[in-house]
Parts: sequence; structure tokens; C-alpha cells
Amino acid sequence: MTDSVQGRQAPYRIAPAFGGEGDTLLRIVVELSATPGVASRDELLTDGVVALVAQLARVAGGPPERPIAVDVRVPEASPPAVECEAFVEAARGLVQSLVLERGKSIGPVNVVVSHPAQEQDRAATWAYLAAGTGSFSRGATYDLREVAV
Amino acid sequence: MTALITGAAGGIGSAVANAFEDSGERVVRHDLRAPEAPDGTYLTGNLLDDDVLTSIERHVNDEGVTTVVAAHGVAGAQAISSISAEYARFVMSANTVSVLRLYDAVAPALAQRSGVFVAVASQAGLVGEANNGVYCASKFALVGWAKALDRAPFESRPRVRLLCPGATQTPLLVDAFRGMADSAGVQYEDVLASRLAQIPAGRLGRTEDLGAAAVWLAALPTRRSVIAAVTGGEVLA
Repeated sequence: MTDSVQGRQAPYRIAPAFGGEGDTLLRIVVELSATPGVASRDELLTDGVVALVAQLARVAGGPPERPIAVDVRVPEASPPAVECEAFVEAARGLVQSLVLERGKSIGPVNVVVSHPAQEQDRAATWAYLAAGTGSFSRGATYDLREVAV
Repeated sequence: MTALITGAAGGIGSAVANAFEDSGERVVRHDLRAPEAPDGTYLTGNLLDDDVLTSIERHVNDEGVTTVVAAHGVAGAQAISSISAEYARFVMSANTVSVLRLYDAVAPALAQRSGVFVAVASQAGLVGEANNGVYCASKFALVGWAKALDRAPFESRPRVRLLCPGATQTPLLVDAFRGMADSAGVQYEDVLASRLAQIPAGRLGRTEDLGAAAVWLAALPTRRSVIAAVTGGEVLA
């Protein structure tokens, strides 16, 4: 995630939604990097949000029965990077709005937030959301990150 | 004591400025442009402009400002599937990035004086709204920022407050409802009636309601980042 022009690590990467054979769940993978600095923060909260909006607009035109997950991966940090938390909340708001806006015309859209190493948590969540019985979850944000007490 | 209020030419910002004056504080107002007959000291300029922020920082330092209320913002009521990238970027810049940059500029001086930074977010930062997605994102981001501040030790930073107004009688609300109506293919009056029916208080918020809330939030000594949903009961948080 390096901006080769400026030598500054880009604060986010958004992979286009995909779904392979047998994979009924569309995922928009958003990988955040806790890149320090005001410029990165501002880029994440403008261009990063705009990029997510574009992905949501694209997938919202797909088949209405297909579940969609915004898969946000936040690097572990203590305390958590403020700009990453702001982006997670922006994603929460976007998905809530989209669900209210589109109702039954799109599949269930949810946000799942995790640390990169939480493979098992994500796998279990995809299995749940991909199943028909998971379709009543929509507009939710499931934050799977462990919070230190 | 002195308060700086941004967005002071707008509905809620103006009421907040008046409320602080009525409570005995000296008020410095800021907006993009000064009104024709400005009340008192008026700073102007785009808060995304570094020179403007430097000027504000200097003013806060020199004038002993102890309270900053970021009451500026823009509407963004368009469907997610149709909002342009340019407009989405504008809304996020105006409603989120400019507030964070303002905080960065004034936080050191406020912290030295045990001061307070109040950001006016929205109930749309607590619960999503159809045909208002990017506006929601911009206000949700502020909520996320405020909550995240609390997860770090309270060192040398000011007290932070988030005021989340519900539907309040302002020109911005009219813009937002018109945008929602256009996106949904209904009339403005339909949107207004529908929203009123959802508000337990039975009315829209008045700008003076939010002015009073801002004064109260600024006076609280707690170091917790208080998030206040003043919504007439429409959104409960």
C-alpha cells in the first residue's frame, strides 16, 4: 500500500468486491494502515470514504438475494488509531443508510470489522452471513476486535 | 471567558453564539463569509485553508479562547448510488476533515486553559438515514473520532463534546429534506410530515434548544468525551 509517487504509505486499500464459485457472499475488502500524519488521515476520510461509496453503489446493483459484507481490517494498535475508528464509523453510517435506502432491492449488507490476524473470526462470520439464515442481519456492524480491558 | 463559534452565520451556529453571549461569555464568530451586519468580532475563511487555520490558532492563543464550538457543516442528502465522487469528497471535507483540522489547530491552547472543544455532529451520526448516506458517514466519523479519543489516556488535550442535534428548524434542514425528497421521488412536504410523525416531542428542534445544549456541554467538567443526542426522542442514544 505504498504511494510510489510520494513514498508515503497509502492509508487504505479497497479491493473490488468478488465472489467465486460456491462463494455466495460478496466482500468489499478494506485494508486500513495506521499511517501517521494529517495528510493520510484526511485522505482516508475523504478519498477512502469516496472509494467505499463507489464500491457500495456498484454492488448495490447486483442480484438482490446476494449478501454483501464490507470487510474492514484495522491494524492492531493500542490505543487504536483515531482515524481508523473514524473510518469504521463512517462505514457503519454508509451501510445503515444504504440498507434504509434500498430495502429489499439489495441483498443483506453488513460491516464486519476485525484485525488482520482474525482469520477464524472472519471465516465463521462469512459462513453465517452467507447462509440463508444469516439474511436477517442487515445494516449491522459486527466489530470482532478484542478490546484490552 | 471567550468562545469561538464556527458556522456562526448558520441556524444552529448563530443560536449557539447567542446562547454563549447570554451566558456571559465573550463570543468570536467565524464563517465562510461574514454576514452583511456582523455581530461583534467576526473571523472568515475556509477552514480547509491552512492560512485560515493559522489565523484562527493565533486568535485563539492571543484572545484567551477557552471554548471552541465547531458548528459549521453542509448538507449531503443524495442516494449512495447517485452521489458524485466530487460531492461526496466535498461533504466529507466540510463536515469531518475541517473539524479535525480545526481541533488540531486549537487543541494545544485549549488544553493549556482546561478548555473544551464542542463539535456539532448530528443524529445522522448515530443512526443511518436513507438518501443521506455520505452526510451520515461524515457525522458518524466524528462520533468515531470522539469515542476513540477516550480510549487513549487523557493527557494534555481539551475536553471534547459532540452535540448530535435531531431535525432542527434551519435552512440546512430544508436543503436536506429537499434532497431526500428528490432522491426518493416524493414531495418535500411528505418528507417533513413523515419526520414529524417520528419525533416523540411532536415538533422539530428549535435552534435555541441546541444553543442551550452547547452551553451545558461546554460547562461540564468531566473529561469523558460526552456525546449528546438532542433529538426530541427521534433517535435515542
